[in-house]
Amino acid sequence: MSHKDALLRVEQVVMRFGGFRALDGVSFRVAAGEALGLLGPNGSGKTTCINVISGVYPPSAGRVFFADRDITGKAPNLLARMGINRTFQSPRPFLSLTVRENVELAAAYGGRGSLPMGIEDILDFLELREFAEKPAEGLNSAQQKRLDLARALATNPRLVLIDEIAAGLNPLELRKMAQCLRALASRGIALLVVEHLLSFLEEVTDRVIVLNAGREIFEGSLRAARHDQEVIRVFLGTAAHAG
Amino acid sequence: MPNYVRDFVFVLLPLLVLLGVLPFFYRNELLLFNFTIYFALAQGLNVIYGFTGYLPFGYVGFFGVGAYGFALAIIHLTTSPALALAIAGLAALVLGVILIPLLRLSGAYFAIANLAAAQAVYHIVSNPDLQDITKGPYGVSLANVFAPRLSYYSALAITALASVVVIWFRNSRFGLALQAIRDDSLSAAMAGIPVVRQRTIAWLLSALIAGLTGGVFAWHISVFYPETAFDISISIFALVFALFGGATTLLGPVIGVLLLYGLYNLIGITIPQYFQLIYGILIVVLVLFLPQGIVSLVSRRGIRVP
Ligand SMILES: Nc1ncnc2c1ncn2[C@@H]1O[C@H](COP(=O)(O)OP(=O)(O)OP(=O)(O)O)[C@@H](O)[C@H]1O
Ligand SMILES: [Mg+2]
Repeated sequence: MSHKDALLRVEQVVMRFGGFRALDGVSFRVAAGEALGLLGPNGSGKTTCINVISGVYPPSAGRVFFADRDITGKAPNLLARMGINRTFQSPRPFLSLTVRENVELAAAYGGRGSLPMGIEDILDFLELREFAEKPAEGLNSAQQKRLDLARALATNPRLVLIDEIAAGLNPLELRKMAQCLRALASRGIALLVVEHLLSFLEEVTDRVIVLNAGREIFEGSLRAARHDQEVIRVFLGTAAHAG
Repeated sequence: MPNYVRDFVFVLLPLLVLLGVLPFFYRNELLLFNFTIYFALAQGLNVIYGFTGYLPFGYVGFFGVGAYGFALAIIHLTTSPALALAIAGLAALVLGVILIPLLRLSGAYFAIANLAAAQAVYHIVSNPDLQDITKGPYGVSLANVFAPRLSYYSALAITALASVVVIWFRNSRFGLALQAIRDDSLSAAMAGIPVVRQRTIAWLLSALIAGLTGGVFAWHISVFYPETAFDISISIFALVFALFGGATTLLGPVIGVLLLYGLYNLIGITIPQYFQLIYGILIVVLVLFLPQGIVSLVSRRGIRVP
């Protein structure tokens, strides 16, 4: 991928917490409309990577570019308005607001131009319509995850960072969620999909990178990753086996 | 009927009419005045606590600065009371701006830091070395502008202003965004909400309301001391009234003031120190067990409380 094709460029990003390096020189690119899988054992820095890209904290070193603009250290609300959004590993909707209010606020404040999908479409797309007038507090965890995604979509994003959205879903929900993500990618929304469940990830994309201890140890196809000696070694006894 | 009209017609209007006519029938005007002051302060607290979750134990700091802003404008600048009130509001705004960094603190840290800030302002104002400016611990007298009726109705206007801010927050996208920030500030930022700016606006509005209230208080009671204007029990009372009734609603703080300040005046006035203690403990109990106040006993059932 040339510079020109990349929507997101992460370059030599280091994230230190005290003396500990959660990310230790990570670089990768995501093209417009591409889905990239981000794998790695627990504590390898996947969520930290999403946090840095979405502006939760500025990286200790390195740079992040979005649509050829340097966005390193920019605040999340500015990034949202530029077209970057995300979901959370454990969902974080506005609990005291209704489902519809959650989505409407994101459209009102984060929305860029006119939405290709209206609020009603988004609610339908993520099967949230029947709860629209309920406080988000009353949703179960799978529904709250969908609401996180609905809120992200309401900002009309060009890139969505998705943090373990499959964890805890039942087989039917998993299949539907994979469909959803494929549909988003086919609409030209780029996705960075952090996932432990490989059977889910392979429904969404084939291109993955693998992190271990804050370093990238593999980049290529998911199929090839499964046979890579180092990947197998770091995943021994964890989800990659089962997946 | 739109919700904001409902809030106005069913809560604010009756309250204003009641407080507006009562002085013609009821002799104890100071008591009415104090009720009015607490209606304003409880709604001012509602603006910050109900919509952002910050619990400002030092809220009285804005009130005290407003009272002194008013008094010093009268004494040193010999302004009209109206202009002095504007200066009272401005003084509280300035303190609010100085304290903006406190908004980075969360929970109990914010509450304590805010209380400490109010104490610091009190010690500056009451410092005998500043006697030439603030009259230090000896207090101020504003007998030359004394106008009980006018200051009473000014207090009522400030109560109306504070209530209108609450109605606005309850029924606008701006207020909804504040509640989103209160629920989860990172999510709110990811939804594109300018978290810092929104919070700051709510904080300054809340400070302004307390400052104006302090100014009108100074005008009405005419003679006061630093420990009157910076009395921590003003914070505690305003907090407990808003919390008890139910923050985020317009009706909650009104109920809180009517019941708890009523109770205080019935039996507490002879033993004020116990009430400060009891109401202090009540704040903790409410935050832990009934954070949405007594109106939530109704709103829990899906009924919209104004
Ligand atoms: N804010 C923080 N302060 C200190 N340490 C942190 C912080 N965030 C993450 N870490 C540490 O950085 C490392 C990477 O964490 P991260 O959450 O990115 O892992 P992860 O790959 O998402 O793991 P999981 O699969 O369990 O979600 C962990 O050791 C974690 O304890
Ligand atoms: Mg994680």
